[in-house]
Amino acid sequence: MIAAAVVGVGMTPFTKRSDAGIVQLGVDATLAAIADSGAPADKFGIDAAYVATGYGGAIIGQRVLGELGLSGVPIVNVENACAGGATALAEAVWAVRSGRYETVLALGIEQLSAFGSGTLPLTASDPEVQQGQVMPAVYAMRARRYMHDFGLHPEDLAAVTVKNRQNAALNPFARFREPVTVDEVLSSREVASPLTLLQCSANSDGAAAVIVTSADTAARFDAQPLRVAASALTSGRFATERVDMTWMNISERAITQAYAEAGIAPQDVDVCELHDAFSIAEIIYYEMLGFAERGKGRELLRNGRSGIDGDVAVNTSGGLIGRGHPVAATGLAQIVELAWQLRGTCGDRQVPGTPRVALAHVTGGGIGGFENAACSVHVLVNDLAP
Amino acid sequence: MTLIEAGPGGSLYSFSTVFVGPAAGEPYTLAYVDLDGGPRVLGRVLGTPDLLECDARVRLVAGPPADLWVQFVIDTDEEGNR
Repeated sequence: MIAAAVVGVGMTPFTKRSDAGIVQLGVDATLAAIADSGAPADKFGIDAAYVATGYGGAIIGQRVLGELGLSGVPIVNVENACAGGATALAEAVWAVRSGRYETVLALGIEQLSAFGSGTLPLTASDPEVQQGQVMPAVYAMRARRYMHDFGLHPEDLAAVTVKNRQNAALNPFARFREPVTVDEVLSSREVASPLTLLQCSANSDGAAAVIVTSADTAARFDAQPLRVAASALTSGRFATERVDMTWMNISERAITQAYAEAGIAPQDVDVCELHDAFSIAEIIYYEMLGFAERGKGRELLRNGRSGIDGDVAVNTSGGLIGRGHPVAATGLAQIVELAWQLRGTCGDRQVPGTPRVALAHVTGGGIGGFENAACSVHVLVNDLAP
Repeated sequence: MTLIEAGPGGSLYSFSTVFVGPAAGEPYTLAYVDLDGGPRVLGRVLGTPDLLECDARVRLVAGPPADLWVQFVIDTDEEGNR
């Protein structure tokens, strides 16, 4: 199998509303990734592109790449809910690994401001949506059960937001640049009890792009290549049995696959971007990723272990809560942040030392009878780090 | 496909009172209920959410306010004890 490497990353700032238009967001992110790769823009070429959007409409890839003079090659438009961007990356990685294509663009674009405020629109024919199901309620019920089973307090949930907003304040690409306190989090308005507004990721506008190529070709780019050590993609299984809402099988399978493929253990991960769509999710995923024992995820927040200076820095970008959540762009924005961390270019929010192993986890899609629609985990390694 | 009989009693797996929604109106309380002898179903809990807790006993009820919803109430005995 051919080794795949990330050679260029770029993103637009994530914002509440972009006046640029969705095509321009995609153009800007792609140009940033090309510039980052060190390839001269007039000589840059791709062999294929996988372009994700959840709500941006049909054939978004052609609309963007036509503007850049990069159309004509195979373009595959991808939709996989919150995992759309990561799915595009997984397809790009496996296309390179199999030898099908040499240099591939993965791009995620979203302009959710077009839908106004409120919760993400879900499929109206879904039987649970007909009962009034919304994404905040799904995670609120996870939180309620977790609190019952493990004695978690509202302050523990708020600590996730406090950490991620501190990190976002250091990230010029993040939407929320002001730190918040535990009291401010808990006194923000209720969305779905026990979750308050500041514990929810915000629908946002933005785009992120990643260029993947073979390890051999990577030498032709100026940028330091980052080896893709694992690329896992899973879907939810329809089930009517009583599942544990505090432990998600769909993520467990993706995480297990990724650790096995990369040949690493949880303690090897130096920096991690995980899917904190809602505060409770970050605590659960600490445990699922093996950073904490079952029921003890909150301890990472209490002792600072998941902070920028901690032994596994989680969501240094601010995560979904701090950076904003333009659905299909999120999975690729995670890769952008991790690439910057591995190269040591994150400035005030740079993880100290030289991080070597980075892990990205994204999952999503609300659908009755499923935990989630899709989940993806990637591991990047900086082989030049000690 | 086979029909199964389940409930009307069940236990509350988890719940949330929703203040936002596609059709933002009055807050409503959603719950996953493990029906006795049956599957877990999503429905709405009528009445006061302050009294709810995980594993509380609930009971399916028919009728208004809406036919579309699967509706539950907190299960009480004749004296109103839970």
